[in-house]
Amino acid sequence: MSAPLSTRLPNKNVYNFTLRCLFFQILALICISFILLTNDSAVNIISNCLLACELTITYFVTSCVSFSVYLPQGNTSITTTTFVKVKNGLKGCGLYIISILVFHCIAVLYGAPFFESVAETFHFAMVMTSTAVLPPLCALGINFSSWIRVFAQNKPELGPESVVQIVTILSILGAWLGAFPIPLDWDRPWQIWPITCVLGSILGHIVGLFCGAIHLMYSYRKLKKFKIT
Amino acid sequence: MRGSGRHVVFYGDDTWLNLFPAHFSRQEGTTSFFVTDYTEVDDNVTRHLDIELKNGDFDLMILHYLGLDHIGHIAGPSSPLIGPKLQEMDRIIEKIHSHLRKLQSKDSLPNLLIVCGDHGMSDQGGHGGASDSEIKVPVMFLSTRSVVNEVEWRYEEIQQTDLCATLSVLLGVPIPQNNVGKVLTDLLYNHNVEQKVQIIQENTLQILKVFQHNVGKFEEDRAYSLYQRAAKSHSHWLGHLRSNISEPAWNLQGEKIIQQYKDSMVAMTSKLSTSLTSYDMYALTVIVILIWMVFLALLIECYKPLSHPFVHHQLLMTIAFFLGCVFCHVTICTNGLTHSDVLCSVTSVHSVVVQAVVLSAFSILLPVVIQGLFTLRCNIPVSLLRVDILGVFLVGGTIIHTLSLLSSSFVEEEHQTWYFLTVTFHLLIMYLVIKSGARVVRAPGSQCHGEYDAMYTEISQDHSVHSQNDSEHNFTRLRSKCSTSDENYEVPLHERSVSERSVSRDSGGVVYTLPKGRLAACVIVLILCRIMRGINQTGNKWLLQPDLGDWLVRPENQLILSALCILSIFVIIVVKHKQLPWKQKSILSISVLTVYLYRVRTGAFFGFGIQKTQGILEARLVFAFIFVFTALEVHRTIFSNSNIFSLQNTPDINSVLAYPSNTAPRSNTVSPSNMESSSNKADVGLTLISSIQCSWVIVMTLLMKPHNILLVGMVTLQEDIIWCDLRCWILQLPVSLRTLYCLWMGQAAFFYQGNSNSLSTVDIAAGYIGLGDFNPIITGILLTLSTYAGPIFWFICSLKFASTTSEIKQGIRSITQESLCSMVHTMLLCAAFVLSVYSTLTVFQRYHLFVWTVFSPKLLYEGMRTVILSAFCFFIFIGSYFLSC
Repeated sequence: MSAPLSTRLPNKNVYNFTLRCLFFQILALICISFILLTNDSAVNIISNCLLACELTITYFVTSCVSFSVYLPQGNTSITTTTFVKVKNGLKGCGLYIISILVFHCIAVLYGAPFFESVAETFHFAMVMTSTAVLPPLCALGINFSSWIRVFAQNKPELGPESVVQIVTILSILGAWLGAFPIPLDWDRPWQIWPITCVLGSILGHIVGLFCGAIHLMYSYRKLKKFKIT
Repeated sequence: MRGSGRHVVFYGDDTWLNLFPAHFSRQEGTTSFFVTDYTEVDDNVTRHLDIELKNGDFDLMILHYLGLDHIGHIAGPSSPLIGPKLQEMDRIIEKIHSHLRKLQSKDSLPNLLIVCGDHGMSDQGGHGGASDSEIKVPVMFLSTRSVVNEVEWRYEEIQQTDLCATLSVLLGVPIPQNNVGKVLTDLLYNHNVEQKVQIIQENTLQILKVFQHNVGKFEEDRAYSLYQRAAKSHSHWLGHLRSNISEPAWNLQGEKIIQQYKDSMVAMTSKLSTSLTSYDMYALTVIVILIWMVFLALLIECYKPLSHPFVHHQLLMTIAFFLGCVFCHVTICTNGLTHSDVLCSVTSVHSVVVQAVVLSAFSILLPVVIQGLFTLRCNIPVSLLRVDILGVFLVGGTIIHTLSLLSSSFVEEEHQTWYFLTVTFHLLIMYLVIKSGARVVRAPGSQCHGEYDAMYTEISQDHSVHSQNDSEHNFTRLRSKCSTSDENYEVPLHERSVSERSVSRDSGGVVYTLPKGRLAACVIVLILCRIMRGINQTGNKWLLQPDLGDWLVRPENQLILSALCILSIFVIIVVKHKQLPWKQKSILSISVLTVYLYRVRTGAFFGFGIQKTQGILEARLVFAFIFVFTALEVHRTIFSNSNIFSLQNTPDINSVLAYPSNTAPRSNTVSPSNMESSSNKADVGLTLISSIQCSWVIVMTLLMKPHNILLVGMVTLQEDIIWCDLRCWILQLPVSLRTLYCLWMGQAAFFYQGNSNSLSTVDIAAGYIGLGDFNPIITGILLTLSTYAGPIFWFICSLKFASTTSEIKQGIRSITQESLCSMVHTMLLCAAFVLSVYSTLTVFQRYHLFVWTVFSPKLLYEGMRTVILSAFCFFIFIGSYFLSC
């Protein structure tokens, strides 16, 4: 997962912006998870799962989109017309919806009921898309080749790309691990499908952000030292 | 009863006659294990009823009706057969009761009719689990006296053990010596308070005896003090002169004493039930250590190459260890600290043989393990570090599964673990498939480039043509190339300057073609997984959810079931008969059709008006067909053996010549389909394995429940898709990991069938297919085969996957042996791993609440699975020995 040493050093603006975004995101997400887990809040995930999912999704969408808008371009920033921007935005929305459907199908393949609790499964798919697909969608855009470079060839550039890769993998891993408590015979209210998986995904996302930040800082320092000497 | 000169007559289950020979004045038993018969067994009982009632000279009549139980086993509790059977039972009860009432007017003592079940029934129709519906049964006491007075109905929950004591009292015989039940005083209508108190006192004294015998330091126990209190107040009560107190107060006092006695009995029996389950700790420890040593020995074999265990100094060590073991054993047995019936008695031959086997196993394994542990540090498992994501996941998943068994709910829901793991594995394959579409076109000048480009065009052409075999072949070759080139040329790529890289990226250096065929294959495999898990709902937590199987079995859906099964039979014929000569093809088709006919005969399928029978002839015909087919195939293999082996070496040499760059370590293990380039010289072993698989599929369709034929079709289809389209991802793994994959799929298939880790899901009816009579050996074999049908299917597949590599290197026979060894080793290692961890857990948890309901059935299943695995490995060795001869 670690980027090779010869990777290009990220732009200082991009580096600072990414780090600031990461820490803001971590703090905000920890707050949101507290809200979701407090017993008597209106959006408690156990009593009101769908609403809690919707809150999370709204937060993710607004924060990611605003980050991507303000993400400072590197030196080779190409000026694009508004028409292209709108077109790309629409394409991104299309990808978002497709990815929701894909996650829904995957959840059903994993054993989520096909006819019952469709809304729950769909909300889970939306949360999964927001935690795992939205960050790369915002960081990489709809540039297909960079998606392949990051996720198929495992060669992300240091900066937003490497962070996004870590975040995506850990979000999916978190949701995967979140399924384990469901079959236990404790008969707790939170063992109902999607609650643990949603929480696992959010938790994985937070851990991913944290790991990404540490990875970014560590590699940046190392590379900088290497460049200077 | 017999001892006190009473007449007991018995009709029903012949297990009674084996348990109590010469106890009955008149008797007739019916074979209880032939479950497909549900009318004869009951008629055999009922036909004696009239004569017996007319005679009326019995003191106790026992009628054991088996029909209902059998219907439950074959068709489940929602079967249409249940209603008429219950009505029949109703009529019999009415008949007996009215007859007894007639007798009552002449007789002074009332008669009692007890109606009860010997066990309940789960919602699947089996029993042996611990659910409420299985362990709680209704008991009905119908006294003829209650009709004379007013009818009195009461509902109460009683213990099974109470029945014995109560009946003893009611029949006027002494309470049995080892009884732990208490008399149900509510049933003592004819007794006054003094008598009741006396009876309950006798009962308490008897239990006290058992208690004193079994519990050390009984004086300090709470139960004993309770008894003393009751006894004191009893003597106090008796000490009063009756005239001193009024009648109701006297009775009240008596009832109080009865309650006190009862409390003390409850306390004593609960104490008894915990202390009566004693375990042979010495034997348990020895066996667990033995299993662990087998596991460690197998694990050590992983790290170092196979060495012959009987080198000279090792033999000496073995003898030394043998003497040591014998010494320890004798010391432990004679010092009296532990008392072991299994390992320490010398009276029976059986026990002596067991001791000898255990001792010799110990002395052979100990040196191996000790030597292995000492040399372990020197050998780092290099081969294990090189595997990719799939391999890591396979090994990790196996470990996760084994550790998950430490929790009782994961044992109950083990199927969830397997479904989860297999789906994740196939999703990983899907990820790799999608990933494999991306290819970087290297900058010119790179050494790899030309070769690579050529390959790429080749593969894209193949995709457009879509010729399965060729594209398969090239694709794998390409993959092997790519993996090697990726490793070799990574360094120059990164050393290139930044600008060059960005240029190559921007100008569309990454070419992507979606491998549609493979992706579709992945999706179909995953969807099949999902449908199969929906057919039979199993486990504990979601057991009651409606599933596809329940819906299909309903009588109104028979037509749909038949249509789906014809479809799946069609799929089996199409998928499995691809490369067979016409003779074998026709035999197989006829046998599959006979299976359908058999199902029609037994009434499961829509039959166009064909008469219903037991279907014994049809089932036997199927077995005969399968036998003939296998014999033909084996003959074909042996016959073609000689000329195939001579031709076999040519393609290998060709491939080596054609691709001199195949020297990288990985490319040897990839490129599975060299033999496909010479499809006319098809591999002998592979053909034989496929034909064995064919016959096994037919056996599966015959043995499984009717709606599971659907499952057979889907499993076959799934395996075929994996074999045809996704093989390269599995074959790139070493043989041991491929075996692991097949074991996973086998376990998943085991649960798809509707099995669980509870004994109640075993389909007893499968043991009687094609049998007219009960035969313990054949029934046992059929039962085992049908229960483990899915795993056995995947074992055969693992043989297929393991033997495919054998073509890549030269010297076919030795390589085949090597890969077979590797496969067998993995299978045994897995079995030993699970067994060692699980048996240790069970020994530690032997006082756990769930030990008899969760842990021990699982241990039984695991043991049976190990037996089947060992038998399979044994057959492999025999088969490979004969083939290589």
